Amino acid sequence: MENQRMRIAVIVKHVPDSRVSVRVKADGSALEQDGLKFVCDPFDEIAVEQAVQIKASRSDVQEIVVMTVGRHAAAEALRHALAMGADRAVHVLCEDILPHEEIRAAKLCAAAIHQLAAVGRGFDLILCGVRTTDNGAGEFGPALAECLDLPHAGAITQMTLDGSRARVRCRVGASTGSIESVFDVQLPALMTCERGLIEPRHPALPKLMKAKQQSIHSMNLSESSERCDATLVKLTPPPARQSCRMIEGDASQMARELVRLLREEAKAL
Amino acid sequence: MSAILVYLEKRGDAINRASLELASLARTLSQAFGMPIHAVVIGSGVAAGAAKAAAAVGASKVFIGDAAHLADYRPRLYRRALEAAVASSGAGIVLMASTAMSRDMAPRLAVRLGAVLATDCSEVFVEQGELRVRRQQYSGKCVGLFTLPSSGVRVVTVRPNTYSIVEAGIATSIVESVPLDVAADQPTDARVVAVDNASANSESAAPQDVTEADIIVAGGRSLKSAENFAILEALAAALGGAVGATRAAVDAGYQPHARQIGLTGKTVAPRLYIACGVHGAIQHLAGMRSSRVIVAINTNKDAPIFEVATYGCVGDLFEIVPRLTQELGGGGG
Repeated sequence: MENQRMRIAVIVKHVPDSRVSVRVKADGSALEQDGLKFVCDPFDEIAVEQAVQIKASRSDVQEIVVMTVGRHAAAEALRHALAMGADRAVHVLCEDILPHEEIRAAKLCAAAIHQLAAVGRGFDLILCGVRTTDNGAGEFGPALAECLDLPHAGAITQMTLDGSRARVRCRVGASTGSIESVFDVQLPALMTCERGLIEPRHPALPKLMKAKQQSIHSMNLSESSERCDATLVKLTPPPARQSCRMIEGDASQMARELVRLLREEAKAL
Repeated sequence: MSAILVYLEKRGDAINRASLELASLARTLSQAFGMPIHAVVIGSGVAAGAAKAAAAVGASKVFIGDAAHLADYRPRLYRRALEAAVASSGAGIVLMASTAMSRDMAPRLAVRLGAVLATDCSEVFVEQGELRVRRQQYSGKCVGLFTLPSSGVRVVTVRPNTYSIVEAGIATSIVESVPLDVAADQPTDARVVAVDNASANSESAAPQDVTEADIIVAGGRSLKSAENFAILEALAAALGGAVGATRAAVDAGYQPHARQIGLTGKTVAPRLYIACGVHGAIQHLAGMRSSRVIVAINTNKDAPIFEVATYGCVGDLFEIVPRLTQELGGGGG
């Protein structure tokens, strides 16, 4: 990439703040939206931070484009990424997309990336979170890579870039039975970011204020009617647990009684 | 007639236990939809044990991608091998254990096949003639019931420890072996350059990913140091389980990120979860509340961990845990 300038895309998602509790609508169709606070997904924040750090450490990064697929309100996640240091934002508008429709989101995002590439150069590096805290399936990243016919490295916890070659540590075991592997990836490629990669910054107020003024490029794309995700029938709160059985006595008695209960009653040993 | 294709994930020299757990589910779906069960194995040197592993999940046919270039997992290469297996098998339903590898690969496979994907399901069943799944959303704060289409290819990944291994009883006559021809990789695929077995203590104790462990002994910041986790290691060893940690313990540097359980760590559902000195922050509960049996050991009787626990001990973990290890016949204590 000596002659070409590097372009990085980061894909983010606007999700309910996972630190607060949620309620399900009476008909089980979705979460009760009242009082629900949305944020930029914490895993995607790691991806934004990684992109910003790459730009700071190299002279050849042309720009960081942050993208999202979602409702009008999802622009807030884009503004958060802009405040963190992304250069410009692209919003693929989709009002009726549901949190679990990750393959649909990947297809829309791929279509947007193709359209952007038609008028400029494509992206050399695409980053996103390994999963999002709303749906938790982590389908989006690998699905987007497949849509774009790009290689990907999943769940990265370390990354070093050398020209257009990346060496990454992935929390995806090789067949040999390890739990982490080191991969070499030739760019262009997509990578999904795992916790531990980098600590995302908290953007300062002036940066947040400035991001509010920045323009966002909105795109409306047509999609095929073909179903690519499962259909939600109903959302329910998790089943209630029986109350805890407290074990009395001194440490030895508790240990003995616990082992007995685990063996005989719970059959967990 | 379309088939049910079970992906038997190779793990070290054996087939991952979590893949073998799919046997009873495969049989249920096979009976409900009248589809035969097939299996697929990918790796290097996997041909020898393939038929036996396939028989364990009740398969009548096993597709074998066995080549030196398939030794290590590479996303596009493995996706291509599975794609070939789906085509040869005529599979309508692909079942995989929800492991780090399948989470990485299944979305690529689904896009490639134009299939519908359901990831990390905690329940898979047939209702009103439809294939339905339950899976957690919002970090376990909700459970979603989903339906999959009745035609086309459906890829379902199942959370480990959801079904018990069927020890015997599936009568399989003869497993037909079908070799898969998987071309060597495109140069642009991610290539494994090193493998990290950092958490492997010895040959016999294979590194266990907490998401696949049957039994987890977890510790919080009240362990006070990395060294003190040794008492949890001893208990885990006595139980044949893995050690996990809360975010607070990981942030304090007591344990590596890979062992973190909770919202920003891993989500687990083992048969037995022993929480030692774990307060039970909502973020931690999100990652372990669907464990079958939860034991809480904590000095604070009002700690929220007791709200999700099956059995509770109010007391000092430094006194109780070593005695527990001793009681189980392990060393120490």
